[in-house]
Order: sequence, then structure tokens, then C-alpha cells
Amino acid sequence: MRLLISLLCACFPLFSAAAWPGILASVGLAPDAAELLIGDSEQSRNLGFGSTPATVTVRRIIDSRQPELEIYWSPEAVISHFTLPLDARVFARERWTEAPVMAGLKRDDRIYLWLAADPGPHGFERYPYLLQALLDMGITPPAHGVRLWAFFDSSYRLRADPDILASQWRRAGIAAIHVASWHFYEPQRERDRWLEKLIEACHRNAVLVYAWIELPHVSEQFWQDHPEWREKTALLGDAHLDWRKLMNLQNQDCVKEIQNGIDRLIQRFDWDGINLGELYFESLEGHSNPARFTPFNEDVRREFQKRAGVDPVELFRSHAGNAKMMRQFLDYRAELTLKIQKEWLGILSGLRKQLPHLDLVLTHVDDQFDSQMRDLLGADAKSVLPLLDQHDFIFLVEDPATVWHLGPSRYPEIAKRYEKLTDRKDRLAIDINIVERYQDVYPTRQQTGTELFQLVHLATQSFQRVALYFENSILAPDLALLPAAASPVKKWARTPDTLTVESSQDVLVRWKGPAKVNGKAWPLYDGEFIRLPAGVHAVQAGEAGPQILDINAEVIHAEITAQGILLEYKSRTRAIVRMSDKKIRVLPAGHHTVYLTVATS
Amino acid sequence: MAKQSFFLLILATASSASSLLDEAYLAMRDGQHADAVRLFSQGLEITPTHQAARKDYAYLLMRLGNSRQAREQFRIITENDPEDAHALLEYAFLCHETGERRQARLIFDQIRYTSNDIHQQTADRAFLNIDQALETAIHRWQEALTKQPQADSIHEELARLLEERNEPLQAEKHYEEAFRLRPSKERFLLDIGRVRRWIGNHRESLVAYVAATHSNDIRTAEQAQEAIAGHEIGEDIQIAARSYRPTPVITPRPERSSETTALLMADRSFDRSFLPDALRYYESAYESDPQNSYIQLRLGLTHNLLGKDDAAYQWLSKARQSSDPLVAAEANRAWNNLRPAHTPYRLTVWALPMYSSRWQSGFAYGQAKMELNKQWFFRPYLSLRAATDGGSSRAPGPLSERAWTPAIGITSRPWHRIVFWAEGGGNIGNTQGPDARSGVIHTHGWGSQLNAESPGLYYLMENGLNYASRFSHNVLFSSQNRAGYTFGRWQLGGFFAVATDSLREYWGNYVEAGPSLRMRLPRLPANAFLNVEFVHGINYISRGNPRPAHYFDLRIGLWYAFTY
Repeated sequence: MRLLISLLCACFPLFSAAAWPGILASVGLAPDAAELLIGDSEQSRNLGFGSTPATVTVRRIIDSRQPELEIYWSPEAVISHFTLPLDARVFARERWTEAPVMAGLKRDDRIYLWLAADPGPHGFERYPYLLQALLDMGITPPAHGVRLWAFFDSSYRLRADPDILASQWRRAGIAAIHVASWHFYEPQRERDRWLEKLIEACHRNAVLVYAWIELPHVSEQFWQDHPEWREKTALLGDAHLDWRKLMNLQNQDCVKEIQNGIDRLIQRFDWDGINLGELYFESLEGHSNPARFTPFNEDVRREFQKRAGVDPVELFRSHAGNAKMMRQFLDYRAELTLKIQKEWLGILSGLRKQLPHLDLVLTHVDDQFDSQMRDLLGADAKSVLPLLDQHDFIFLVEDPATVWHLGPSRYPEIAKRYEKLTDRKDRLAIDINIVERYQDVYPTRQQTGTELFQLVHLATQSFQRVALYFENSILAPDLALLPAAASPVKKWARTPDTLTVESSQDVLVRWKGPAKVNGKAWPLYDGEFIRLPAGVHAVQAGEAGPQILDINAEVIHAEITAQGILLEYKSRTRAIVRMSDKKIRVLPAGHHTVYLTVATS
Repeated sequence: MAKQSFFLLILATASSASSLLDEAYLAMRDGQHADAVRLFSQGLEITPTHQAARKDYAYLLMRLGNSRQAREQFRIITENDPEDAHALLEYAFLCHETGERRQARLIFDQIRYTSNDIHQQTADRAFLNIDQALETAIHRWQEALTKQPQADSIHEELARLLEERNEPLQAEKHYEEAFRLRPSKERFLLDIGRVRRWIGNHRESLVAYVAATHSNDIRTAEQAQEAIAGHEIGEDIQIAARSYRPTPVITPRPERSSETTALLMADRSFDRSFLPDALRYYESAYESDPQNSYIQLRLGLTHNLLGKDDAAYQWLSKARQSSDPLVAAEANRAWNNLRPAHTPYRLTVWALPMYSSRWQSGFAYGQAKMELNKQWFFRPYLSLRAATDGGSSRAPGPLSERAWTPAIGITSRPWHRIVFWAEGGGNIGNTQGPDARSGVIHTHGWGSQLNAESPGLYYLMENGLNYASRFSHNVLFSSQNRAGYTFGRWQLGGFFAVATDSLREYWGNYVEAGPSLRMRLPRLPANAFLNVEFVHGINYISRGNPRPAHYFDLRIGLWYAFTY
């Protein structure tokens, strides 16, 4: 039966190619950008692909782009051992027999991608690197997004060159990195110097830098220095859970000390913003695993005992009749989370008095799509969202591990649920976790290739801002197409001399040389792309003039005037502008119109 | 002629490599990093032993942030020249940075004993950082295991840490235990195969790998296939591999139906303790296949872990009827654990036969108690007590009631480890007449009690305030305290008791102290133990005491209790 189904899959190209337009659209390519051939069709035979009587059971393939990547097909497929035309370029083969399973062919200016079996119902079940193969065949996506955020942990990158990293990030469409700041909580000359260099390099490349704070974890040294303030689990062990070493944020002496430390941390470096990440309790296993369940520090125990008459530790010592009390504790814990979140949002907002350009982000696990989070972590988005009216911050929704295996379509659904909860839709953002998933997912354990592009593409369509966790986990083959997946273009229309683009956000459109936009000379271009604001714009060939090569802000309007470049922009933090005279201009946060001049050599 | 051609070929190859490497350096200087990487890679393919160029290539990869590729270059450098301590150190740091912590620890360890001072100090610091963190983590999880010995996730966590700390034998033990507890997680077979291969136990390693090739999970099966590629697999290994029986009731099917997919998702969620998810998936799988006893079992276990014991009990009752002996056995075990809380009545029986050297006599006490098993704070019960002794020339009369005492009573649920009880009945036997008793009992223990998984200090306190009508309505307070050290089945320590009563009787006012030994006897149930105490006591009220106030007493008793 399995053999029959696999053969059927491989033999119905019309049915199984249904995912093809979606695959192409995930990086902004038109449905006719390349032609897909599957297995033994008449067209593939005409082009020289031939089947042989020998069959191969495919369970794992090797893609030449990333040979060490484990790519599995589940269910396995039985295919013919095909022969290929001599001018075909093989991209992937079956692991054991080396039978070709993906190849490209260029004939008469037409590009063909041949697959031994269909790409799967969603387009990513078998060949993660279909789109990279098209890139190798000379197809380039027409537009790039410029607004991605990425998390960054220096422990993996300490010996990387900051300049190289920053330019790689910008090329990948990344507008800001959120740096794991706990490594820099205590001053240390060499490490500090490295971070300073990184921030300088990022700013030179128009990449913003946020201090990512992961309270109740403060720093390794803080944990060592203050055993008296360590958080406790329900088994009353020190709450060292995974890499995080949690502190007691109920204790006001502890809070004061952390506040002073964070104040120093923010003053010491040239940050553009602060990201207060995952400020709630542990763990995703909830009270079913007391070894990971927090908080059980003395302050919490005392307070709950005062309120409920029971030391919460007792809830784990006897089983009978605890359900009601446990409910009460879980509710108390959620209230406590909110109280701590409010307190820290207030503290961090206070830092803006001295550094008004600082942006503020709150990263918060989703509890609307996965409703268990309130009980598991104490996280309650519904209670936090009204704080958007009191504090100016971005609410970055993190999709929890429990739904990482669900497909890309979860993002529009998550967006819908949050939009119902707040009027501040412009301040909602989504965080995509690009990590190895614990669930049995195929073809790869971590999102890469088409699956990643579809995730980013749908997330971009659903949210104002998309963050990726984390920059080092993005596999090298994905970097080139990542900005194309983040493209916010909604519509294209092309006539012989005009390209009309409709976009929901700022976008880079592939365009050689200078251009006119809506009939006026346009200053935002770098020779390969032009930068367009959101809206509908008509682009035509133009003449060279003063240039802005890159800008890290939302462009509202731009034109070339006698006084220089007139630029209207909006930015939650400082706007960084890279001019063609190699100068970097730092503009104030907010909504402004400025004139910029370019020095002529 | 052939010699000349060969020489020319070598020359041409060397010159081509040199030109590629020259170009690589130029590209690197000009900031054309992608070109430089490509050219270095091509050049080094032709001259793989060009150590200097390979180092420059590795450092370029590091600057680009490609730590994994840089690590691989340093691996080759150290293979070409194992004496290059600096390269070894770089390799170790890159291993650590890229998650190969076991390898990093091993190399740091090697350098700190074989290299010069500077490298030695760096390696020593790095090694200690890794090792101490591992040691602490292992200790923490070992402690957690004493509290949750049946948690496969803790065994898994420990196994991984032990593997990183170069303790494969211990790691193997914990992987095996994790697999025994969670046979559906066939990926453990790969771990078992890997550590066995590392230990040098190649045959058993192959057995585990071959078993994994039969996994329903394609990733596991293929990884196992990779591991045994090139090895000869004899029939004996095939047969032995069959003994690693995978998940009991998930029979392989040609295609995954929706309930199988739900079941797999449920198992994965259960494995990771994402219990609400697991519950949802099991319920979905059950809707499609309500006769599947494995799903019933898992529904029972999941409800149980979620603290929903009533539902768990119902599911387990169904699952224990399974025709699959493994499912039935596991369901039965879990069902029996829940049964006491779900039966209408609960029977508790205890018995204590003992010998006392002070009285040179044997005694026997016991009670059978049938309790109404409701969630009330006070629950009624019927009781039958027995007390007798062998008589003593040292006492003027019998040392106990020598009677049966049927009674009716109530007992409370434990409240802050305190139980209240009261009963009324009558004595039948040597002593006759009505008998009313009541009391308050408080028990608290700290540390490694008898039957604890790990050795350690212990302290056990038992306090009682009891009233007995038969002793002129006397109220007796007693406190018995035991402290010492537990070694597996043995508990060695000291005993201290103090008592006083409302009527100031000499027998009700004493202080006793002395060494104490408790042990579980082989072949007897876990809830039976031998108790030996040798005490020096003082009756501190002498009124009516026919014997000296100071006494020594050796008591040997066997305690046994069970609840059904």
C-alpha cells in the first residue's frame, strides 16, 4: 500500500504541483518565474529526463548546498532511478544510492526545476532548498524587506569580526539586533570593548542595537554574588533552570540592586533600545513538574500564606484536596507576574528621561493561541496589553514551543487574536523561533529553506514587525533569500517603462541605477535596489543625483530639492542614515522632516 | 619519461594550489570574503597539508562567524600536527562554542597535562569551568532523581551530562533506564548505541542500533542505518535486537492515519512533559480508535500527572483489561497506586511483635481498621485491636490487656501532618469492659528516611497526645525522636523519648535515650522492618514504682503495615 501511494504521489504532477505558486510567492517570485517538472512527465521526457525500471526508496536526501543537513522524507517515497540530460545541474541526491532527486535545467531562456517526487502539500515537506536552487539558476527575487529584527548572543560569536557581522545582517534584511546583555552586566574591559565595536559597526551599517534583558536572570556573577536572592523551585532548590539562573524579583533589595546594575549597563553602551524578554515564571511544564516550577522564594511563600493560609510548598507535599488551592496559587502567580512586569516597564521607561531615544520592547509568550501559558508560566497577555496605553512599547509576541511544529498559517491566526485585544495594532510584533524542534517534524528538525521563508512571509503579512530568534541559528543557505521572504509587497504591475509597486511597509525593489518615483527624481537607491515607502508607487528610469544608500527608519516621503534631499521619516528610536558620501547621519527619534546634503568629492 | 611527467604534474598541481591561495589572500585583503573562502577551500583541496594557509582560512571563517567550519579546519590542522598546542586550544574553544562540549572538555584536559605553561593555564581554567558546571548540574539532577526516580526526562538529562563529562558507563545506565521508562522514545536506542560504541562494547552497540533501524520514526531509523553502515550484522545481533521491543501497541502501518499522527504527537508531548498538549492529542487519538488500550493507558497516566486522579482511575481501569500484557501490567501498577483513594472502603492493618529485655517477655500489638474512604475531613471507621504479652516474672500482673478490642471511631485527614482520632468499643479477653480512646498524632521526618533512594542523614519525630478510659481516664503525651544516617536498607542512629501523663503515674513519666538500628529485611515487603533499640531510661516519678528508677532495655521488634 505504501509503495502504491508513493508511486501515485510521484506520478500525478498536476495534482502535486499545486504548492508551486505558494513556494515561489514566499520569496516574492511570480508563478511563471520557473517551470516545475515532476518525475516522469511528458515534458520532462522531452527535455531528456528518463525513468529506468530500477526503483529507489527515499527516506533521506543530501542537498549539495548543505550536505551535513539531515533531510528526511516522512512518509518515505518510492521513485524511479532517473537518468538526467547532460546539461542538467543536480542539486540533491538520495542518501544511499545517489539517485538524483532535484535538478535544474536552462533551455531557451527558460528555467526548469525537476523533482523526482512532488514537493509535498505545503511545498516544504521534501526539498528545503528548492528556492536556493532557483537562485543558482539565475532567478533573483524582485524585492527585499528591510525591517527584520534578530536576537543575538555573543557567546557564539565572540571571535567574529563585528564589521563583517553587521554588514551580513543588513544584507539579510535585519534592521535591529537584540543583544543578550546579561553577558555585559558587570563591566569587563575586553568584553566591553568588543561590544562597543559591535555597536559602532552596526550603526555604520544602519543596524540598530537593543539591550535584551532576560529577567529574572541577571548574570552569572550576580547569581554567584547573591545566593540569598536566588529564586527557588517548588522543591526548594535554587532555580537554575536550563541556562537561566533566576533571581527573586519580589525582594525589593534585590530589585534595587538589579535596577542599579541595569542603569549602569544602559549608560555604558550606545544602545538604541531595550527589550524586556520573557519576564514571567518557569516552566513550560507548569506545576506538573515541581523541580522546574517557580516562584517559591520566601517572599512569595510568605505573601501567599498570608493570603491563603497555606505555604504553597505544601501543595506539592500532599495530593488530597489541592486542586482549589493550586488554582488560587496559579491565579496569584499570574497577578504577581503582571505586578512585576508593570514594575519593570515603569523602571525601564524611567531610563528614557535620561536617554529619550531609547525604544522599549516587551517580549511575551503567546497565550491566546496556546491558552495554557497563564497557568504554566503566569503569562497573561490579556492583562499586559492594556499597559500599551500607559507605556510606549512594542509588544513582541513569542510563539511558544508547543506550537512550533504547526505550519506558517498560525501567524495570521495569532495576529487576529491579538488585534481583538488592543487598538494599538501598530505596536504588535511577532517573534519566530528558528531552533531545533522537539516534535517529530519533517523534512528538517529546524526550519530552513522554503519552510522558513513561508514562516517569515506570512508573519510579515500579519505583523508590523518580525523578529527572528536567533541570528546564529539561521542557516547560511537561508541568508540570501531571507530579505525576499520578508518583502511586504502586495502587488506588482509592469509596463515597458514603468513598474508599479504596492507595499504595506518600506521595501527595497530591485532596480538598476537611479529612478524617478511618481514622476520625481528619487534619492533612495544604491544601484541595485531602490527604497520605496509604504503605499502605491510608480517607478521609472531616472537620472543620477544625491543619494541615500540606506536608512533605518520608516520613510514617509523623499525628494531631491535645491537645498538637498528632503526626507520625511518616522522612527521609534534614532534614525540612522547612510549617505553616498560615506557619512552616517543620526537623526532624532519621532516623526520629522529634514534636509540632508551630500558632500560632492 | 614517466618520472618526468609525474614531476611535471606535481609541479603543475603545486603551482595551481599556490596561485589559488595567492588569490585567496588577495580577496581576503580586499574584503571579498565569499571569494576568499571559495579560493582557500579549492587551494587547500590540492595542498591539504599547507598548515599556515589552513590556519589563515580557519581564522577567516572565525571572523565571518562560521564557527562550525572554522572548527573543522582546526580539526584537520590538529590531525596533521598533534603537537600544535595553540591549534589544539583553538579547536577546543571552537568545539565548546559549537556545542561539542564533550570533545572540548577532553581536549582541554589533554592540553593541561601535555603543553607549556601558558596553554596549560588557559586549558586548566577552561577545563575547570566546564567540569565544575557539569559536576554541579549532575549533582542537582541526581538529587531530583531521588525525588522523582521514575522520571525518564531526569534520567535522560543525567545521561547527557554524564556523557559530556566522559562517564559513558553511568550515561549508558541512565539512557537504558530512560528507555525502559519510556519505550516509545526510540531515539534512546541511538544514545545507547553511541555510548556502548564509545565504551568499546561494539556488539551490544550494534544490537541497539539495529533495534533502532526498525523504528517507526524515519529519522531514528535512518540515523541508526548511518551508524551501522559498513558493519557486518550477524543473525545473532538481529535476534538480540528484537528483544528491544519498541512501543507496545503502536503497530507499524503503511501510512499514518490521523489517529496515528495524533498518537505520535501525543507521545512526543508526553515525553517532553507538555501534558495538556499530550492530553489533547490522546483524546483526539482515542476518538478515532476507542478500543486502543495503549491510548487508554496513556490517557490514564496523563490525567494522573495532571493531578486529575478520578479521570486517571477510570482510564486505567479500562486499560488494565488490555489483552497486551505490557499495557495491562503498566496500567495495573498505576491503577493500584490510585486505588486506595478510589475505593469506598480502605483497610489498614499494622502489627508489631516485639521482645523487651527489661521485661524479659514478648509482646504483640496490632490493629485492623476499615475506613470509609470519602473526601471528608473526618471519616468513620471500624477497628479491631489486639494486644497480648508472654507474661513476666518482673511484673506483678499482665503487661498488656491480653484482649481483642472491637471499636467504632473517626479519624481525620492529615492536617499539617497532624491526625485526630477517637474511638469507642469494648475489650474481649483477659480484660473486659468498655474502652474509649482518642488522640492527636503528629509525625514529621526530614532527610533520607528508610527506603530512600540515596543515603543521608535523617530525623524522624513522632508525637502523640492520647486519652484512654481504661487507664482511669489518663491522658498521656509522648514524643519519640530518631536521628542518624540511612544507608540503603539500614538506618543507624540514636533514639530519644520523653513522656508524661495527666495522672502522674510512674510508668507514664520517663525519659529514654540510646542507640537505635532499623533495617529492611531481605525478601520482606518494603513496609516491613526490624527495629532494635537499646535504651537507658529513667522513670522520673517514683510514686508507686516497685522497680529502680533507672533501667536499661533492649527492644527488638518487627513492624509491618499495609493499606488496601
